[in-house]
Amino acid sequence: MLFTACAPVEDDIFTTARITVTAEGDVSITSVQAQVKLTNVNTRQVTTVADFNGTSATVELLRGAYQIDIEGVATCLSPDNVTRMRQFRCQSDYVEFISHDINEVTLKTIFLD
Amino acid sequence: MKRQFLLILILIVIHGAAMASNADSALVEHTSLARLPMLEAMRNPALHGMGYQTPYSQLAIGIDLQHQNQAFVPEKGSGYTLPYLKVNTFHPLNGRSTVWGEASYMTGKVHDIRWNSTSDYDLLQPYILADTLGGDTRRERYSVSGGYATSIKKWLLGAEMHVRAEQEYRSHDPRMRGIVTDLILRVGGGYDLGHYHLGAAVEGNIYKQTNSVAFYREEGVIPEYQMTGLGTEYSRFSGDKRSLYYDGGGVAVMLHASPISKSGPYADVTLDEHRYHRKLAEFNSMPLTDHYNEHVGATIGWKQEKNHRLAVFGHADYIRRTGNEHVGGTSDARYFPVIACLTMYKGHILDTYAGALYGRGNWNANITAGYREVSEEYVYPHRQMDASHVYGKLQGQCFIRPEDKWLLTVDAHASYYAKAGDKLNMPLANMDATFTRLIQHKHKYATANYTDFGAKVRADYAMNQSRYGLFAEAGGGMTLCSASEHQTALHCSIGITF
Amino acid sequence: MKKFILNGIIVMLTAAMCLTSCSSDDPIPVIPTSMVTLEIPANLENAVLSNAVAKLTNVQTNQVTTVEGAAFLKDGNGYKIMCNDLEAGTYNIVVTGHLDFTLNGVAGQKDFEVTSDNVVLSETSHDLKMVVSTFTAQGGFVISEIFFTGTMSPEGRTYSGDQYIIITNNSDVTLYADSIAVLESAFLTTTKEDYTPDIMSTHFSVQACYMIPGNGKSVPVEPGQSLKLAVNAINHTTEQPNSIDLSNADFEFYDETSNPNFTDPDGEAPNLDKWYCYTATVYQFHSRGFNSMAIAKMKTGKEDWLENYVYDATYLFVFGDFSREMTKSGIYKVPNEWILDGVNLSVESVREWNVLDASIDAGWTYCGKVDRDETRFNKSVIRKQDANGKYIDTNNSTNDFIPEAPASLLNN
Repeated sequence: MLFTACAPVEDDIFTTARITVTAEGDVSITSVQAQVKLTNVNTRQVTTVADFNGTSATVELLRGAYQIDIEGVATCLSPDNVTRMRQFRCQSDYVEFISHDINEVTLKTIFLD
Repeated sequence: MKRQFLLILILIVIHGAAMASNADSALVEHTSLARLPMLEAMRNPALHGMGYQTPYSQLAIGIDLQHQNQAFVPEKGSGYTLPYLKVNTFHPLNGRSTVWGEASYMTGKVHDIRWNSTSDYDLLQPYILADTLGGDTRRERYSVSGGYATSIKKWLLGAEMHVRAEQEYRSHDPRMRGIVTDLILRVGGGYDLGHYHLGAAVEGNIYKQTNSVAFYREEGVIPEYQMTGLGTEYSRFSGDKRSLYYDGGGVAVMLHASPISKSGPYADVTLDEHRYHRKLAEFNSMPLTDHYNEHVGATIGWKQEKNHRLAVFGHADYIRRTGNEHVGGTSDARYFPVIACLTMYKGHILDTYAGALYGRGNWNANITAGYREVSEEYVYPHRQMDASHVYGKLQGQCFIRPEDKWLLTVDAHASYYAKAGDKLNMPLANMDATFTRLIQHKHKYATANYTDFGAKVRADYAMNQSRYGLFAEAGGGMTLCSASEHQTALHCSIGITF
Repeated sequence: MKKFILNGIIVMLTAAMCLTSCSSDDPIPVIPTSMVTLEIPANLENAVLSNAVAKLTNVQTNQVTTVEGAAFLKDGNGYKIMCNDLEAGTYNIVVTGHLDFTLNGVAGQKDFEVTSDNVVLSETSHDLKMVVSTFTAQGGFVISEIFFTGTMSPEGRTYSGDQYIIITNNSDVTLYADSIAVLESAFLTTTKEDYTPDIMSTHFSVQACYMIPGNGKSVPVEPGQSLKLAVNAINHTTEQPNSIDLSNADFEFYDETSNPNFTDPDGEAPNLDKWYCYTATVYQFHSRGFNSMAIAKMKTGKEDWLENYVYDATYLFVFGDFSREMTKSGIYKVPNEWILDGVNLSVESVREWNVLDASIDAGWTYCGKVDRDETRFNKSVIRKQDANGKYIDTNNSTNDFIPEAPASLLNN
């Protein structure tokens, strides 16, 4: 206790990340069913989440930098109100989740069909 | 076994006491077990100068050997062969000032180091560079120290400096090399209260090590891991980042109170903090980890030096260990900015003991019993390794003068460490088999019971009409481990005293 | 005195032992039975799950709990995996199985494996959802093996002249390999820069392009058959006994050089048509696998491509306070629509990014865990095959390839 002020201690090592999937152009995504794989760039540890609320999934993980891979099915609404399910993929090689608050990231879909 | 050993020791002592005269030579004063209660206070250079009445100097050449049939700590190897040359002196100049100094050179071999490519493992662990291959290393150390103390009226002042330069290397793949410079400066003061000396000292330390591993074989390399504690490694920078440097140091504050008459209560308190930073030599010296050791130690006791020498004491040491990992950011432009710093490694060491020292005439005996606890934790993914021991130690010393010119010093010791508790929590399913074996090995030896015993005999011969003397010393010991392994140690040296 | 000392020891040891903390033997709670749910993709119709097996490995104890068959209870669009008497803890979960389904009116099937690591299952944690992916790339030519590490001579010397790449017709019909080019990435997967313009989502940046020549029907490849493309189509065993005889390769990477010190042996195999290579001497795959590879059907002529598909990538070089805009030249681009298959290659200890768009390859594969890994030699990356012998292709080489596999042509 005598040295509490001496050694810097950062015990707040976890944070919350919210990953949102969006499409380019005039297609809008209404819901997503997918598995998100987050790989910590420094530790190589993998965290997965598949619980999407609409187009967003929220996960608690270690603060740091991540590579994100998402693969699944998105319910898409075209400008002429046609709903269609499409297989998609999202990827980012580097995203920082270091804030102590919620970290938001939006990834663009790559449709596979 | 213990009772028999104690009986033998007492018989030796009685026999020796019957032959010895009051041996108050400089050697006795400087090496007597009875000085144990004042050793902590003598770290204060101002009090060190008052520590002995007689001058004493020695030049010794010797060799230390140790062998474990299986390494108790793989990172420290299974033994060593370390010859050395050492000269030390303590010289009161007049009634008020004293100088002392020491210089030594050591070179030799450490055997079969595994999972460690960094020097000064005890200081820097767990943040070391490691590989699965290892091997023998050669070690070379130069060490110089010196101090001066004086008194001005009731004030005592002193200063001391220690410099250590060391290199450790291996001449076959993986070719590790560690080059260490370690500087300690100590400044102390004291005040004569009449019955008591009060002392206060501060110490500063600057430490550096450059560390690298090279591979000359055409076939290629094996991974070098940036270890981060309890079998974890910093994956992103493990593998082929093989050039590091460490810098750091620390400060310490020491407070002492000891009776001038050498009888009465005494107390010592030490507070120190040391920190070591590990940095990659490339990527713009990217910091990887920071390691903090915070230590508080306290001794309280009572001693008496009349016909009988008696001391009872209690001591406690607590070290809090913290390790921070720097999170590397994007690798654009080939340097990695640090985007966060997380405390991932935590540990502590607690060592408490109580003891008593008794001596009369030419013999002394010291007994202690204590409890030691070592705890390590890696925060996420969670890992934990704890081990605690209760222990008892017995030391005996006797000075025997068979003839006028000869003095024999016999030291013996025995101790027993019994496991009191342990805990191991590891994510075995996510661990590589080699790392699992390392952790299981370390845990096996960290939680074993140890029986240790040894003895040392030194013979001093005073030359005619001269202040010079010759000496020869030999000693050995054995440590038996309940994990069915053992360690043997041998020491011998010869030299001159003056 | 002796009695005093001995009694003292006993008293102190006893006192110390009283301080000993006892380890807790509290029972570990059991989690609710149905905490894990497997979701089937909502775009599939008439999906039927069979041969489903879930393996839950307790991370601390390494104990594996296997759940199969009737333990998978249909629940809406998914299945609840019923785990009885599972202790609370952290688990690695692997679910495998087979799906028969209809997608857009077409019958399909897929063997799948889905994983979740370091999942905390406890009485208070949320239910775990796992989603199956059924994406399979359209059949056609695939890269089935890349051998780039080279071999080791009996004297322990490295030899890298024996590299090769194998492409296979993974469809059910005869396809023609004319105009298929082997491409090597211009960027290293071990050096990441912010290149502008960033064209990765539309184009593959290449520094080597060698095309199978033909008139469109010159190189037929039967279903399941392969073409071996050797960097040097010679019998390497004459020079290095532990190497490979590639004299029977189908095609060869041949370079005419102006430097007499670096000549390319011209084996018996027909030469690929060299469209572009960054080196003025002899081309070789990166021997440690730092470049990604792809095959593409070139849909334009060589002159047009060399003229209109140049890519000047600029990036900002930063070192401390110094920064300067740099241009990487000698790069060409290939539209992603032309690419038939691609494989990101790297080494874990130095990997920074993928240089192929995620639609072509979302993962990566490797030979060697560390740069200059001494264990990398004689090894290939080889695409996995399913029970029917078809190559697995989900455009994710992390899943699709066996890393560090023994090179298939060694000892053949």
